[in-house]
Amino acid sequence: MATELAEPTLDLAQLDSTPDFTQTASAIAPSRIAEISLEPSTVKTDEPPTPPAKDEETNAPDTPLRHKPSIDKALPPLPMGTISSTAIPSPPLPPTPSSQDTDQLDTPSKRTSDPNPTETLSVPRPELTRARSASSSKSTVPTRAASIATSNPTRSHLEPPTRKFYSVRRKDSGLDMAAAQRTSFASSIGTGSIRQLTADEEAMSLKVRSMYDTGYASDTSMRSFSRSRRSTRGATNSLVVSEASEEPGTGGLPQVGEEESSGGEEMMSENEAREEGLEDWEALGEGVEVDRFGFIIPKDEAAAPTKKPSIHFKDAATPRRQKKQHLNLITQKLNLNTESPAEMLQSPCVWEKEEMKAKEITRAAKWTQMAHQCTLDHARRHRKESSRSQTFSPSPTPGDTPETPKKRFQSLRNTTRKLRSDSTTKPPTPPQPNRFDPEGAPSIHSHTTLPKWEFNTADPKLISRVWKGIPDCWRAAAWHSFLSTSARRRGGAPDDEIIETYHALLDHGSPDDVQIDLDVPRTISSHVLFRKRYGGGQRLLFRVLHALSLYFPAVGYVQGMASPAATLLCYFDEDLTFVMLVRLFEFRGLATLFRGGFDGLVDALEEFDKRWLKGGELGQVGKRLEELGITNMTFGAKWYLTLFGYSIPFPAQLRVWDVFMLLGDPVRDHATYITVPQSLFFQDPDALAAAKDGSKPGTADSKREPHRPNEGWVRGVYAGHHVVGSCEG
Amino acid sequence: MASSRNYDFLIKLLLIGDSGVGKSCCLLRFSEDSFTPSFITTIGIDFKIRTIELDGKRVKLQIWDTAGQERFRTITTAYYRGAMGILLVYDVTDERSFNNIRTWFSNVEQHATEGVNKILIGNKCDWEEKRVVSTERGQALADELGIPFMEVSAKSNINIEKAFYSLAGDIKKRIMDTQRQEEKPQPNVTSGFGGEQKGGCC
Repeated sequence: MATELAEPTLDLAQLDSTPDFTQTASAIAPSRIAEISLEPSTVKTDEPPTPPAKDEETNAPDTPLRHKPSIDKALPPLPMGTISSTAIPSPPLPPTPSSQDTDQLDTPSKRTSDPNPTETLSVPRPELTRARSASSSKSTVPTRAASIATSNPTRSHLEPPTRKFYSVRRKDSGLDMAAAQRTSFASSIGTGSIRQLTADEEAMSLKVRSMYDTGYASDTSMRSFSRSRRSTRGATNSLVVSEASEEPGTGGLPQVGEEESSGGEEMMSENEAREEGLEDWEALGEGVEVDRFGFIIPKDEAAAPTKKPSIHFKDAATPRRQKKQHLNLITQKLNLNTESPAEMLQSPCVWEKEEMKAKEITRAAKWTQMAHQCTLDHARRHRKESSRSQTFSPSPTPGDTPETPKKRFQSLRNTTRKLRSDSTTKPPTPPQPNRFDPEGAPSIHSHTTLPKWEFNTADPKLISRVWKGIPDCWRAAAWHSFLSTSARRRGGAPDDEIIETYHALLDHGSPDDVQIDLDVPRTISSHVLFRKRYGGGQRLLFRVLHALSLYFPAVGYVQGMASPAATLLCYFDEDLTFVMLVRLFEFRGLATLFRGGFDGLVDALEEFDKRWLKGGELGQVGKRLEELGITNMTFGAKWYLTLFGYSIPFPAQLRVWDVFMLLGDPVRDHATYITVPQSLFFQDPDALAAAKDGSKPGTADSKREPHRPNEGWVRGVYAGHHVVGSCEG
Repeated sequence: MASSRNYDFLIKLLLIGDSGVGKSCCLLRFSEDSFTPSFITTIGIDFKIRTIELDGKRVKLQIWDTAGQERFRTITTAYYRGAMGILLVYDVTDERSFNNIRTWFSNVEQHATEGVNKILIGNKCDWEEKRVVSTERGQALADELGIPFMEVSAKSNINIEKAFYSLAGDIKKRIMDTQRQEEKPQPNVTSGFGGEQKGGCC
């Protein structure tokens, strides 16, 4: 649509507004500083006439410290809304330690407290920085493409491209090794090169991106765009509703959708006061309720609970009763004990009762203990790396040092034995914040230099606790730890490398931008974060998906990806969302599922059919579906591609994710294999009890087949059924 | 419940067209008479059911909704075969979606059963200020392809019912004609199903 003529202007706008993005993500502000300091003239001279607000933006890198992007800071000043009474009392134990100790999960605050962020970040990435400046200084399509090549001299378009291409080369030999490990794995995913866009595509891409850059929107209620990135909750948990409303008439219904024009009518002026994502809470409408996960509860739902497009991710059209019947059937078929587990499953989701709230708080306390213990041990282990055997390490996360499998195996065995004897009796050691000395840890993986929560993913106790549902305030930390463990074990890129790549990719056009733009407003727009066209959450979502489509060029963007991305954005800032997405793709099989032609999906569905729908306890269901001519693609594609995003209520989806994040790795670790009783994958109440007792797991699952590689997905689906069944049933 | 059939005909329809043209919205309007601007992206394939009455017969419409993104075509084309009627949807405010109708049409020719009924649908016709594809152009294309044409609006509920009814009517007529020709007048037969789909009941 955009004309050729418009291109340079757009590009300049893009260049100019990249800082806006970077400010939006204050974490990369340091790199911006580097960029500006390297080539100040470039940035200045190329600056087209921009609104005054822009100039402020450009200056903002100097003051990233001002912004404290975590939402707990951002929201308290707001008037407490209807939900506040039900929100977790914000003191829940984890948030405090996590903001002190685990800056990894709350990167913004880490950066905020960093006295000298410029140096920390700009040093390792000179090459990248220069490349970005170069690309920024160009304004035409061909030069943009050229700049891609410049940034990576080793790469030509003919070369078989891998992700390695993006990584910033460092002198650290450990990193090199990690990168080498990664290539094999990248090739297994089937990455491809970022193809050169046609002029038309580039123009379209720029047009779309500029809209997200500048926050252009036709919705006049939108006055600002956020400058700081955020995670809605991250490690914190309190959700507060603003009753402040600019357009009470909207009735809380998301003003997004197809009728929304994409043309920029009017540039919204930036409002300084509304940083930290406050814009998301604007114009919410008088007395609009938001549930604890940030979903807007339609006004009339409470009054008239009739058939109505439901909130959350529920399929809008399926009558609830019908759905419930099906779930009940599943529950019955599985002989699920719907008494205690159901309560357990519900407790973290909906707080209908105070008692459930209390339960979650209790569980959160346990998690805090567990996390502190594991994290400390992990840090200690790293510190005494040379004398590894002397230290008890409850976190068998091999892979951070080159180690022979055999040795690893043995050490894990020991760990396991120790775990069994120690884990229940060991008194929790409250960690000292200052013990998380970033400098103390060896920088084998650079991200180990950043303190973060660690969990021992092989600990049966952890596994059974995950099955009960991770307390919401611990979700972000736990998920991140679980995926990081997989990444370490299987040679994935460290956090900061992925994050660097992420920011580098934001500067490149993607052929999928137009499609992403179409889907962003159609992704959980009932969530307060995503309801506003080109609003804060939508911008983050767009950016993340845009980068993702480039990170896995062979996969590109596929409808469905937006749902996991959006869910993650509810818990992480954009950088970590991207990291998590990349790891989901690499270590949880998403890349295979989304692969062109969907052969991975078809395989997964066949397996699901064979082992579950037709062969398993649900044989009758499968039969009936076949009679009705409903193939598993009809419902299964959605389940698999969105990780139950649009299929089950959000709280239930989170429960599925809890298990999936922990146990969904198709390639199992020796440690897991030894330590985790097979039955724990299936949440058998007997087995759970047995595991708690430390005895051998029950035999209820003995007829189930032993582990096979690549069945992580099916396991995820199993998990889904159990959780859904209990939740709804 | 398996034995009592509450319809005389089962007709399977398919909605295709570019991403974002409003296929799902059309379907939601038809099956539930509602519209939501915050609709979600269709992932893969989905379906809804509505039973209507045509000439005194109960006709159950099983309407399949498809993802518009090209990547999903490998999945969605498998459903062409079983469809008895296909709605090719474009967005009157989106030139590209209109131009792509030819591609969609040739896909239909390639994958659907011969003689399948088709109809061209221009959605969002309420949005006059954004319109870029005139009614005349839509009609001209339909004439060229030799299929009926209708402009609709899922949002304002314009012509949605009419479009589905007319397509269903055509299909019913075709099926009955076929049956008559075959001299096997069995009103309850649900023919036209292909491959893996069985004309079941529910």
